[in-house]
Amino acid sequence: MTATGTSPRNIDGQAISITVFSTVKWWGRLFLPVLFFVTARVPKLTRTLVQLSFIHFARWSIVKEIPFNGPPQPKQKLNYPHMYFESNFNGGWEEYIDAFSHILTSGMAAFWGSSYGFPKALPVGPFKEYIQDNETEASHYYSAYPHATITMIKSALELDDKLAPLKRNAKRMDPDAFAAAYETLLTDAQRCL
Amino acid sequence: MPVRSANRSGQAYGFLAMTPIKPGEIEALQQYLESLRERGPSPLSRVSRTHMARWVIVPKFHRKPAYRQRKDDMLEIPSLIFSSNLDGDLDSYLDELCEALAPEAPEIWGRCIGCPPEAKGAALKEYLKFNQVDCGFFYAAYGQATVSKVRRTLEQRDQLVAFAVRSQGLSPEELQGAFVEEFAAS
Amino acid sequence: MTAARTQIDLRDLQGDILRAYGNAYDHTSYAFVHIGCPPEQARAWFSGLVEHVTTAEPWKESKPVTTLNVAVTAAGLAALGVSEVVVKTFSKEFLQGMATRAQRLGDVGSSEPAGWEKGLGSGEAHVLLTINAQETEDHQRALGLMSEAMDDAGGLRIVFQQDTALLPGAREHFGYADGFAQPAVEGFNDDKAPGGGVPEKDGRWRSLAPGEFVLGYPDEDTRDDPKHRLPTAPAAPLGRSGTYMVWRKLYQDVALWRRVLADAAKLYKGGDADKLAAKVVGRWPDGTPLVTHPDKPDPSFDATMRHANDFRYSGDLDGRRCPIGAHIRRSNPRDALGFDGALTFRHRMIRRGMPYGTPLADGVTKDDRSDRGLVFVSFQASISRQFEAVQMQWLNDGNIFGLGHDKDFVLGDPHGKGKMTIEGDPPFFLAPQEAFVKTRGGEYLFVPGMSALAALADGTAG
Repeated sequence: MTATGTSPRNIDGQAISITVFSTVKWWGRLFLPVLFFVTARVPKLTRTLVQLSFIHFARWSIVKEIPFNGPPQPKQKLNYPHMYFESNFNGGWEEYIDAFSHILTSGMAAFWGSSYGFPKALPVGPFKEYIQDNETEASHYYSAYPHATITMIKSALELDDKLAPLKRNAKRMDPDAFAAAYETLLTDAQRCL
Repeated sequence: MPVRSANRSGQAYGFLAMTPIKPGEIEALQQYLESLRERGPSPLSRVSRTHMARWVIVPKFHRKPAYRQRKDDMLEIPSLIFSSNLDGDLDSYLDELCEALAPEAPEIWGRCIGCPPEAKGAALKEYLKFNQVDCGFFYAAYGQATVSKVRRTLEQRDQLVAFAVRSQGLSPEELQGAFVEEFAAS
Repeated sequence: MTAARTQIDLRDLQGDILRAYGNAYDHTSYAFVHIGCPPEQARAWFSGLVEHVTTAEPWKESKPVTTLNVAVTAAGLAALGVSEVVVKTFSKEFLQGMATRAQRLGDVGSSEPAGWEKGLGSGEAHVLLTINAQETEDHQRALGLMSEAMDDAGGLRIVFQQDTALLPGAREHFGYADGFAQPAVEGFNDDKAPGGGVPEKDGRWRSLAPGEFVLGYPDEDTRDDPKHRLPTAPAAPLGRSGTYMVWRKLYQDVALWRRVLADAAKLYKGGDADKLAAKVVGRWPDGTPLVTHPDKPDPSFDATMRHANDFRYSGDLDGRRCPIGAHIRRSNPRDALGFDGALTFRHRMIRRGMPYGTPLADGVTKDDRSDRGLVFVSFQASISRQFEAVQMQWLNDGNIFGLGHDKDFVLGDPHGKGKMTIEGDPPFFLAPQEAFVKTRGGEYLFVPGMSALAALADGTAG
């Protein structure tokens, strides 16, 4: 059991959800789309995120207008854009925010710097408070594989590729050759097991 | 025009619909969503291409005086967020969702303004798409893998670990026989 | 740019927290007292106690014959008459107590609170008296004095007591030198920074801010805060110079440990049972780290030397020298998680535990039904960030190391499911099995500073 530090409604097995809305300053309207565009296209920028291996899925979205569905919904014009952030991750909420503060300090500044009230990412205390103030609890959270953690999934996928040749050839190999190939597989794939 | 490719990472897609809640219905909606866990497996488990999804009620946009935000920007009407991280094509996914969730949808989107009266099928799908919010940046750690592939390979990993532990010390013939039986019998 | 070094007020701090009494004392007794009388009466007894509490001030001549330190549980604060408003300013996990949080700690199955020893985890424990003594007669005398004071006061009784004693060679019951690897705290044991501090980029090491272990001082997060905010602490006057304490009685099944390793070693091609055991622990019995000496212990190793703990894991990322899931690597990963230690430096603990029970004679692999194990004691500014996070994320799970749900093999899996990989060419696997270590009970406590103790005794704590 590793999922901790947040309301049980945000948790499904080992998976934790976090949902944050923040109000964006005028210049974020121009800056954020560029940031999103660039981040998606420059792998180097997400390398640390990948290495941290906490996150299954995450997204940042901008809400610029509220679609009008007819009365009794009032037609609403938003004064500011609002940024929606969601993440699906493993480990504790506290450790998650700590890791982002310490390791992705400039990334946090880039994504939240244009939001009202964003204190710096460090020290961690005020940043955690900011996230808590702007976080909304999920009413229902679902994961298709709640007990699996990210590194397990990545390992499982890698293992599948490594195991495939041996599965294909096992029957027709000579036992000694098989044993050697099996040993090579284990050695090669031990970080996946 | 919304940039739909920003919703993709690998074959995974990030869908979000933000729908206004009918006045007076917010508490009932919240209670209903919170009760889903108690009734058994999540209804979303019937939508097999869903990796992870959530329903979140957003009553308002938060604002503190210390933020020095000049104007108010309260959400005039509370919203229901439905966010899903799914496999493949959005249209066919929404078709599956609107069909599989037919029992629950009237209690969920049925409590939102503009939802078609029967809360199902093509009409529900159009309603959700009308209220879609595109991703600005979508990150998927294993965007190339579908739900079924994730589940299959996780199970296989468990199987191989258990096999590796118990087959230490077997002779090559025994090892091969056991392996074939476990992984290659077909 | 780091802030100027903070001066710790040693007179206000209880002893054995920042500076260990070390192996100066052979005997330690832990007595959990229950207050059954009204707060005013309890406080009268408490005042008497407080006069004898050992502080952190350096000893001028020789060490005292015995030492006394005091800690309180959440229920204890209430029993001493502290108001609910003030009690609520303590941390959530402290208020809930260890037994309530047992599931998250992995205290399930054979370790669950329902099976804990009477008096622990029940809410009856109010005040913990820790008494250290050198000679047996000093020990008995101190315990006698403690009893007398309680009898005089009336309405007090000991709900649980654990006596402990050092084992030869400062080992624990599985045979491993223990307790010598501790965090390096700025201004205290900077000489232990190589290995005990935070591993930095260029091979250097940095001591940790005192606030990681003592409240009222800047910690690693706030040390560079331009606004000089301090970490969260209980309301004054109770917070200052205090710390949280984790106390756990851990039974060790030595016979099982020996049998399992001997059995598994039959199939292990990398060495004998001693080597396999060292792989599980991450050290050789004498304390030599496996990562620096993967094949055999270092004959010149001395746990007290300055650089005894000066090692890193970044040269062994594949775990071929020291397995990735080895006990000491899990409990303090140092730089093993990358990012220059940023994922590890805020999860350090000061440990002051003691083994209890008589050793199982060498070579015996049949259980003699004797109670033996380790009393685990740690001090930290935050129970949840430091103790619980390590327990939950590093010991009871393997995700952060890429080890799936594998748990620490020394502590074991109460459900008997986790395997352990010994990395190699090829890898070797230890089969899942019944836990070697079982939790027999525990408490979360607060160790007040000296002026906080005085306020508690006076009834002026609020």
